[in-house]
Amino acid sequence: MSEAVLERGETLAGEGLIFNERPNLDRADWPEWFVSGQDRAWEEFQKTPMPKRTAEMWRFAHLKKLDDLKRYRHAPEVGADLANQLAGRSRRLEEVSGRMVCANGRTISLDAPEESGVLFLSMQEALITHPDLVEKYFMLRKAELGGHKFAALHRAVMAGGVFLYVPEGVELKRPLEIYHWLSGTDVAVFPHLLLIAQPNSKATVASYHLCADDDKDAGLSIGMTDLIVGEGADLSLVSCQARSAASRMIQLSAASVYRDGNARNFMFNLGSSWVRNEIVSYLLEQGANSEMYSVCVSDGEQQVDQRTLQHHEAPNTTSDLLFKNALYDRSRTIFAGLIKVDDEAHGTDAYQKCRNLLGSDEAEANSMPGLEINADGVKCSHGATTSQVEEEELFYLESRGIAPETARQMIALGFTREVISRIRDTALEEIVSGMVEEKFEALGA
Amino acid sequence: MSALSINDLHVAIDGMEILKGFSLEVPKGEVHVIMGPNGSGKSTLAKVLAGHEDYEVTQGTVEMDGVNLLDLEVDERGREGLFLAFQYPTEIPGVSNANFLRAALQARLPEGEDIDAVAFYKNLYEKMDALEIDRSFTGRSVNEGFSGGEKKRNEILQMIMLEPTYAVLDETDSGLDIDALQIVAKGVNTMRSPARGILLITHYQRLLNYIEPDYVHVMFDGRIIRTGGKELALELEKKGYDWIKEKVAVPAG
Repeated sequence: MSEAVLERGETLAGEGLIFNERPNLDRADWPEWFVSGQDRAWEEFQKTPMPKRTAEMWRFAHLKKLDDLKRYRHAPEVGADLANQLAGRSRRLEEVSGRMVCANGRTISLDAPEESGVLFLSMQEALITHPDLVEKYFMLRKAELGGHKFAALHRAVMAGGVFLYVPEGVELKRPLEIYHWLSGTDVAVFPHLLLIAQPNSKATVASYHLCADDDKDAGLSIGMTDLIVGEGADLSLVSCQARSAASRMIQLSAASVYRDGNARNFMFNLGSSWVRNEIVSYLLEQGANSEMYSVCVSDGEQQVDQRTLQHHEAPNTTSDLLFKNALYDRSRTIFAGLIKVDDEAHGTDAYQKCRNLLGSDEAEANSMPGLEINADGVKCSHGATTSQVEEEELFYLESRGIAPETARQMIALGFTREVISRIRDTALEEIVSGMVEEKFEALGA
Repeated sequence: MSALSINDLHVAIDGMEILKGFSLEVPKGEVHVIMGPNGSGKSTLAKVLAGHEDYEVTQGTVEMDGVNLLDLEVDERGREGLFLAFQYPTEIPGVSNANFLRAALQARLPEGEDIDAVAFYKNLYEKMDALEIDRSFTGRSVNEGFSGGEKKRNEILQMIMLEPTYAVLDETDSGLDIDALQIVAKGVNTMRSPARGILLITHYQRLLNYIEPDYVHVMFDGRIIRTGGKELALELEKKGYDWIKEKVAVPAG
């Protein structure tokens, strides 16, 4: 682990620093709109100031963590041996419809789904073979929860990621698995997921953010996810972040949901020292539904900062949000969620709940739920609670002979189960549950 | 020494004395019943035996087969062979009944030894069938959304699975309809054994229509004031607790 200390405002000199230069990408075969868009985004990134302490969108955030981002360099390609080894380790679900393995932003292995017409490609390839489809859906909306500078950086340097296109009426029977491996110290990756579910199609995507070597690797990921959910389509994304304790992550995610579509976005934060999530859903047409779920188990000095927006732009749309944080040691979480209901979005049903379980007196959970309602006939509720493990629950388990540490772990794991059970894919629930359990077990170690 | 021996036990909560010199010996192989009006300290006795931290033992001893129970932590008492069936079983959201029972059995195994999952489920399903508990129960969260009867049946199931040396059942009969009561009683009767002592705490006599006790004790104001056989329970049922209270009040004056 390298922990170069940077003074506030200081800039490192040297090659390949992500704040100073762009990587040498082979852009010759990419469409003009994408290349010029990258150039504009780089300018925008350069002239956009770093977030200020006074900005509402960064309230409670430790902005010093952002200055630390300047020391990261573009991640180099991994060697063939490591690529082989990682491809071999990328098999959590036994049965999948398809599987893609990326290491330091490059796709190193791909099993495409058999269902007819489904496109499951690296972003690099999609830009060459399906530029029109990418253009139609790629980064349609501006990041509006504070991270636009990082969205611009992502746009400017992004070369890797995953493109999924599920044609009308096609249902993927099993989940797709995507691995984002990171190898090296002070290296940065910019993965992009563009997931498109055409009308009446259905897909579940499991996306894992991992380090090749948890003892040595420490990197930064600035990733973005676009979910496009067509009429009557059903798209679930289950992201699991279990990077090394010295890693960092910024992940911005936006779902656009059309008539009667259903977007389900899960985020499991287990690793990394600092995480910023911005998760947005746009309910664009009648009957659109969005569900946002999150589990965070934080320990040590971990900080997980999550901002969400459920934006109801059309009438009779629904949304639900359930975030659960289990905090230990001196870790901190921030949840700032907004439900926004536009003038015309009558008949909106929107819910938002953040629950914090404090496993330590020194841990700090900040919750800022919010509502902005401009329509009539709207049902909305929001709430945030913070509590500790109930003594009576502990007493009950212990009276059965279960040791106090195990009992605490069981109760905390049970606390996260409500979210995990919403995945509604037994095999994937088991994988995720196992990862969460591993984190709880590591706490006791 | 093969007994649960409680001797001159004084217990206070928030500085108020609830048990005032409570003594009782439950030898292995016997079923003892404690009856008494509300507020006599029955549930305090149950909680303090299990080791609840809200209750302060100010005097007296509790030994289980010669082991000083009061020296043990809550979980150690459980592993040592004590079982408390709760009057109000706690709900544990997100922890499935199967995982809970497995963890409890696992806790009784030596370090490094793991439960045989196949044998565990076979055993569990057998016991559940006997108590007429539906299979879907294993995946449900512990006591969450359970009816009163389901909760009590779950307590009995746990007792049967964990095979304690001494079981204390705190008003397991209250709130049960007659069918559930019979199932619970059946569960208790199957647990009767020369190797096990059972202490039933109850407010009503009706449980004793199905379970034949060796002794019935009447508890009032923090101690036992009368001991007899099954007929004592019937007498109580007929005359009510006021009868006992009056009997106590006279010598006190």
